[in-house]
Amino acid sequence: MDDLAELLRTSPDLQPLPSDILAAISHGLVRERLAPDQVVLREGERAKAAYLVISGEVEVVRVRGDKEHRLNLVRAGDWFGLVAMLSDGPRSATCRAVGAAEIGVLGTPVFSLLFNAHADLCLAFQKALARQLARDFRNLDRQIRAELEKAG
Amino acid sequence: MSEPTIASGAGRAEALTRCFSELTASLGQAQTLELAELLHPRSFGTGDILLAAGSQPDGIGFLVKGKLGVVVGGDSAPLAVCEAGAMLWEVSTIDPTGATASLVAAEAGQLLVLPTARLDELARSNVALASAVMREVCTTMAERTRHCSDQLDQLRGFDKAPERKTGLVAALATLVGGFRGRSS
Repeated sequence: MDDLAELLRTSPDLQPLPSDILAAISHGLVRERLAPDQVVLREGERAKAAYLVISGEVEVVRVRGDKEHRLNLVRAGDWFGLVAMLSDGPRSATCRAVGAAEIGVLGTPVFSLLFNAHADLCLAFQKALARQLARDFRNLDRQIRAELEKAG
Repeated sequence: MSEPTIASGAGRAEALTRCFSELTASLGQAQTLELAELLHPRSFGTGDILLAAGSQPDGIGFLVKGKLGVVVGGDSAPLAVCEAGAMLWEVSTIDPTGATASLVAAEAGQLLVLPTARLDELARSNVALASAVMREVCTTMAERTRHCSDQLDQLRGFDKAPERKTGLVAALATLVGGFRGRSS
């Protein structure tokens, strides 16, 4: 079994999925190696894919003027780039590798197929994405509360 | 004409169609009725606490009438108000670590709840319907996240403390339920 198949099989989000659905996701992912600091997607771009971190870390940042804010740090087994894929609008942040990393790229046609086409497969995939979105949501909640603390 | 009661499946289907048009459009009439049959109706009066922060909700809520205040931390005043058309508790249902805010009725109303256990049953009995609901949950969470992330971003560059705090509070309230779904 290769490392991607193993990652999918052991991911807490994907673990309940049947093997044929894991295989469908695995086949849909195109592997891409990232150099340190390599940008995967940029804020303002149109969404063309969702991404799964296979190894290493990817940071999600926004740059405003001379300041950069890290919104999130995603690791092996985490998805990123979901918000723009699921809502109308451009990428809301820039994502780049922290060190050397590897990601799986799920292009729009395959993503759309997994998300919309066949209910059996979709539900399992949607649940996995919902868990990631819930984590992102909690992360944003913590950040706003931290900013509130600073604002007194 | 009197408003249909949510005690009946048909009445709940009508309320869903009125307040969650994107979801029901994707379902069609028969599946909307099937979903409505699974929903538990809940009426509330002004001042009722529907859920306290930290508690685990029974399932995903669909607000079809009335207004709910979002109360965060030790504040007693609501920071934002959810109105009919708001989906509630989807994050806590997916990630069962408790709600991040309390919801207190600002006005009497009605809520339809899809209990977590029924959502699980639905995944076995009607996977197409379960998938349509989950698609709506994902899209709502993504749009809410985008909206709040944008608000937070604007406020980070804002130096006037009182206005900044007001904006942060609004962002937080939006995140936990004040954003009126996808049509806002």
